[in-house]
Amino acid sequence: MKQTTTYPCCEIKAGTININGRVIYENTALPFPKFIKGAYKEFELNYPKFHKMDRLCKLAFVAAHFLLKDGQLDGYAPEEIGVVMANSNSTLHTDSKYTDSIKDRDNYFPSPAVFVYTLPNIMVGEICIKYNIKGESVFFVSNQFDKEMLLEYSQDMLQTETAKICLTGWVDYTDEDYHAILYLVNE
Amino acid sequence: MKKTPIYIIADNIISSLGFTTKANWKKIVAEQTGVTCHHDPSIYPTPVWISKIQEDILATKAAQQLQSAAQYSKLEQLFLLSILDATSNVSVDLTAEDTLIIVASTKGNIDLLEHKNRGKFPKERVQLGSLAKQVQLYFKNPNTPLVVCNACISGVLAMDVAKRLLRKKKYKNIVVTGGDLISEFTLSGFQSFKAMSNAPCKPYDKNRIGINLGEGIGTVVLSTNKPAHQNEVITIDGGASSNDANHISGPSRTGDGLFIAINKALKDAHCPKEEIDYMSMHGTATPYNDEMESKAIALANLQEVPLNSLKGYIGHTLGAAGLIESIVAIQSLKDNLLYRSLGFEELGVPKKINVIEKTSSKPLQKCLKTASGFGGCNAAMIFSKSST
Amino acid sequence: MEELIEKLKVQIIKQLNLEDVEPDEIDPNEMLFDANGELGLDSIDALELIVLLDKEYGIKIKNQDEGKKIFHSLNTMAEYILQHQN
Repeated sequence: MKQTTTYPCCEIKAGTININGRVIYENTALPFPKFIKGAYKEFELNYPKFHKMDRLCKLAFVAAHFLLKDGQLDGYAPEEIGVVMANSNSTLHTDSKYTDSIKDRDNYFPSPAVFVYTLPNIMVGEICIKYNIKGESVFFVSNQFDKEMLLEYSQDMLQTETAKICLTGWVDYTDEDYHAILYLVNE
Repeated sequence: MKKTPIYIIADNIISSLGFTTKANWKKIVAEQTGVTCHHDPSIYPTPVWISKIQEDILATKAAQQLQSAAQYSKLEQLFLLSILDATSNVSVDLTAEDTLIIVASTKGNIDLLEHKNRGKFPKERVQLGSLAKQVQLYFKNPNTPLVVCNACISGVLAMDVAKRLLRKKKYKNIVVTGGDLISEFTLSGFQSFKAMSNAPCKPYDKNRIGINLGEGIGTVVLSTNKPAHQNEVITIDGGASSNDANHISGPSRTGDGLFIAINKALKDAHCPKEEIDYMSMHGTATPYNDEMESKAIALANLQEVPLNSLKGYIGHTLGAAGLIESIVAIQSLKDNLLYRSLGFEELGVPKKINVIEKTSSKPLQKCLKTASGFGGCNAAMIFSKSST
Repeated sequence: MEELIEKLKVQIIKQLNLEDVEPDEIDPNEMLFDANGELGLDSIDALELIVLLDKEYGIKIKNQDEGKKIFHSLNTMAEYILQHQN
């Protein structure tokens, strides 16, 4: 398998955004919502829909931004761009928020805007909308981050000409921890 | 280059219509629906039209067939029973290194997260990876199962993932199982979307108003080894997925996303569109989904090909839908029988399509299966029958 | 009416999670669901507004087409609430 270190990579964890091994933004003291909003403002993402996203989508969206913001997908047709993503907790944070809204029958107001974020491939959808990606995509859930499997799967998509470039990686969010690591698999 | 053939050598369906493919197929051919009105305040405050697996039969079967049944959640029991039945008559070694299990589900054990069920099982079992681990351990399979969680296309997509891994020769056999339960979580969510029908659903009909949720499991056993002693075999010839890049909850207004998936699947299968005899569609019976499908069919120039939606029989079984509907489509190929698209009376989509109005015989060889879901995702797959 | 409109602005911002919008920025006559409008609301937001009317005002909207008229602007929403509130 190709050396994975050569793919462009963005990692977000523990209050730090790291691009290709270089820290570009750090604010370790803030809780996640404030940290991610801080990054959104600092790097002028300027995308009103961002505020309606759940935390998992915000995390994925910001990570994808740093890999795709400089026209890295220019020259590819929308259907030539693939997305392979995974995590371990699916949408647990939003699932819990949603179940709280249906626990009391006397105060029963299920929210459609919360429910829509209870599928992990919604973050793939948000990224596809922003960057006009129409190619193959798949979302896996596994207890452990299996980097080799995800990269191998994406490379196979390229080798079989299912896609010409692929956004690949791991985006997980729980109340205790968060971790995003995305690669741009381009050969 | 000729692609590695992928044989579908066995299958199982569990739904409101029964616990085997045969039981389900029999009722579908007889045009019986499993969608009924349930008033069960423990799952929803008001009456809902849904398709539910019979609890008493499940309890009996689990007690009879599973070791330590009480250790497993309802959904886990269903996965185990479905795989047991699917693999009962084939010589696939589940404990072998070259056998993999792939699980497709949208919400897995989400019922365990509801406040009323908390504490009944260890907390980590709401994680799909932990649910899949139970299945893996039960069958003593050496490989960590893959879980595909991709909204309503999960079932078709899981087979497409299996296709990729089998062609790459990473495994010889893959068991793909997909399932979802009816829970208060999904019922209230779809209700909040105003997406549910308060009567049996009517895919593609002028008066369609929404979906019926269903619960079910579908399992297929895929192999690169050609099954012996059979006159005819069924294969997965190709598959593909796509994204609309349009809206996270609404389908595309043009149908171009699904069109891309259909085109790519045909190309992957080296199948000219003229060879498609039949289409098993997603057909949820929401106004926008069916409208979008008709546009995609028109773009693909497949409007003459007979099609149906299974949703009128067992509702929308979410992560299982793609698997169950594929298995039923395969039954159609085997029996050369097209079943009526239940609930359909008068065409109510913007583009002309050929909805099957009467269960009837027709020589069949190739079929196209499609699925679309939240997040703007679409998937398509081509199955074919050939004599040996 | 004025008072109700001000209250609605705050409730809508909260219910729809419009973090960066200030109440003063919403024009009571402006179309809420104009694709080019300030708020950029979509179909999920329309469903959220149905929840809001139920939760805050006890008004149930069954027919979604009816919703389109009611949620035309803040003014039409306020008028509807005044007419239908018990």
